[in-house]
Parts: sequence; structure tokens; C-alpha cells
Amino acid sequence: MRKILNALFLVMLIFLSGCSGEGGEKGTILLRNIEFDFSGPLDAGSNTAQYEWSINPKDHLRMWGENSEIKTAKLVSATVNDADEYEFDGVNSLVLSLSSDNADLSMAEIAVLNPIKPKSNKQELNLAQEAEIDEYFQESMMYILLDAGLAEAIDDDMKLTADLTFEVTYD
Amino acid sequence: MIKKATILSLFSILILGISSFTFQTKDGGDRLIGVWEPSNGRARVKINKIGSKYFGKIVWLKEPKDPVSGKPKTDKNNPDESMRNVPLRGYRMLKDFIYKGDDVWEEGTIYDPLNGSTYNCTIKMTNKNTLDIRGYIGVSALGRTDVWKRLKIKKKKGRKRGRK
Repeated sequence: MRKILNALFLVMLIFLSGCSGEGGEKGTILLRNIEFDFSGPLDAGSNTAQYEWSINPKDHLRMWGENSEIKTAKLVSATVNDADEYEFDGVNSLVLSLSSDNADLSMAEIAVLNPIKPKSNKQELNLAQEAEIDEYFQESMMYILLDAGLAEAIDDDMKLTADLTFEVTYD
Repeated sequence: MIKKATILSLFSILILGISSFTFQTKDGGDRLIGVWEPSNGRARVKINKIGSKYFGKIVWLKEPKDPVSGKPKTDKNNPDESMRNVPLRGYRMLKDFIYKGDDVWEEGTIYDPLNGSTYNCTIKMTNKNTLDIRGYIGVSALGRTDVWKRLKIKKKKGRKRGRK
């Protein structure tokens, strides 16, 4: 039970309504402390962990207005943390992507850091300038994928967390 | 006699159950999962499933380092300049494949890191260890097919984190 409660507190979704402008109202979606569990043993090279964002953004839009709908979305910051506090030991690179079960939506790489900053438990990723992710916010669920590039094989689990900020416009 | 008949019918039910399970598993498309090598032998691609779709990422390169910089190769031809330092080892060159039945996966794309182009793609499994990968633009008739072979990779033993 404690684990479930912890998990609920770990994943905090805060929707802040902002100002209105051309092209609709503006808002921010903060996705905090989402967990990526890499189950060992881990191979040298790229290893993937995924977070299923099954919370329907449309439900949360009720805070902004019953009939609101997200029109555009853009990732404006992405930070990844080493939850084990090993300063990303063994990790060379990080790539963040979105995927969906919808056949009409292609996977989108949204941020990268290569190489990572040494001796730090926190990494600020560089954002993809041309990623088109608007349609992901029409879905009821999406997968957020984190690829960690390892220099060598590791016989351990690894836990990373991420903080993501999306700017959206909605009607 | 009754005992014998009961055992026989139980056995038949068990066999039917197993074959129906095998059929369901085989028809799910997951036999695509594994490590594959294109015909040129320059890379190895690991296919996995994310949600209901299949993706393949580069896990091995014959020439992993850029001959000019000496550093590990990155996706230097990516049309999005901001993503040109994504490592090529780990790059998903097969994306968004959906299993259509009859050993065919469609609606995906294949990326050619040599020129940064993405093509429509279909995958046909001709036997359990061979794939026909057909990349095309527009219609499938105007494309090229490459034959990929399944590889068996042994896992290497690693070290513990934080104990270099």
C-alpha cells in the first residue's frame, strides 16, 4: 500500500492555465519525477525503459474548461535524474522519445544529450527543434521512452527519473 | 475402462489447449523480436515491441567510430539539425510496424543513416530466421528488398554500477 501511495505522490501532474493569445489559450503541463526502471542485466549500448502516460490529457483539461482540447504541444524542458545517485555511472548518452499505439502516429525523438555531463546526478537534455508532437496530445495514452547508452554491460538495475515541461495551446 | 477413457479425454483436452496456445502465440507477431543482420553485414538490429508496435534499433556497427573524429558515430544526416548527435548505436532505424498476419508487418518506416532518408517499409518473414525488408517511396512496387538473417547473441557479463 505504501508503495502505491509513494508512486501516486511521485508522479505529479500539475496543469497551470496561462494567458490567452493568438491561436487559443496557453497552458503548461508539468510532468514531475516520472520513473524509468531499467531491469538488469543491461547490455553495452542502448537500453530502453518506458513510462506509460495513461492519464488522459483531455480529462485534465476540465480544469481549464469542459470542452477544451489541446491544439498544439511543445516540449520546453527535459531533465533526467539518477535516482540511485551514482552520477550516471556507466551512462554515455540519453535520448527521450514518444510513441503511441495509434497506427497514424510515428515515434518522435524529442530530446537528446550526448555525451552526458560528468559527475552529476542531474542532466538537462537538448530539445529537438522539429519534433511534431501535437497529435500525441489527442491520444488517451502515450509511451515516454528513455534510451540510456551504456559504455559497457552492467549487471545491475538502474533507476532514472525525469521532469518534463510541455507548453500547450488549447481551445 | 472408464478410467482409461477419462484419461484419454483429459489428454486430448490438454493437447488441444497447448496447440491453441501455440497458435495464438505464433499469430501474435512477436516472433519478429530478436537480433537481425542486414545483407551487407555492417550492422545488427534488435527488434522489440513497444505497446502494440514493433521497432528495431541498431545494437552493433561494424565501424562504430567516425573515421574523421574517432568518436562514436552519431546520426549526422538527421534532417533535424538539433538531433544530429543522437548516437547511431541505439538509433531506431525501424519504426512503428504493425503485425498484419501471415508473417507480414506493415505501416512502418526504415531510416537510412547514410543519407538521412526515411522510407515506407514492409517486413515479410520468409522463414523463422529470414526477413525480407522492403523499403519504398510511394508504392511498394517501386522499392528495394534486402534479406536479413536472425542472429543469436550471447550476453556479456557486466560490472556493478558505482563500483568501477
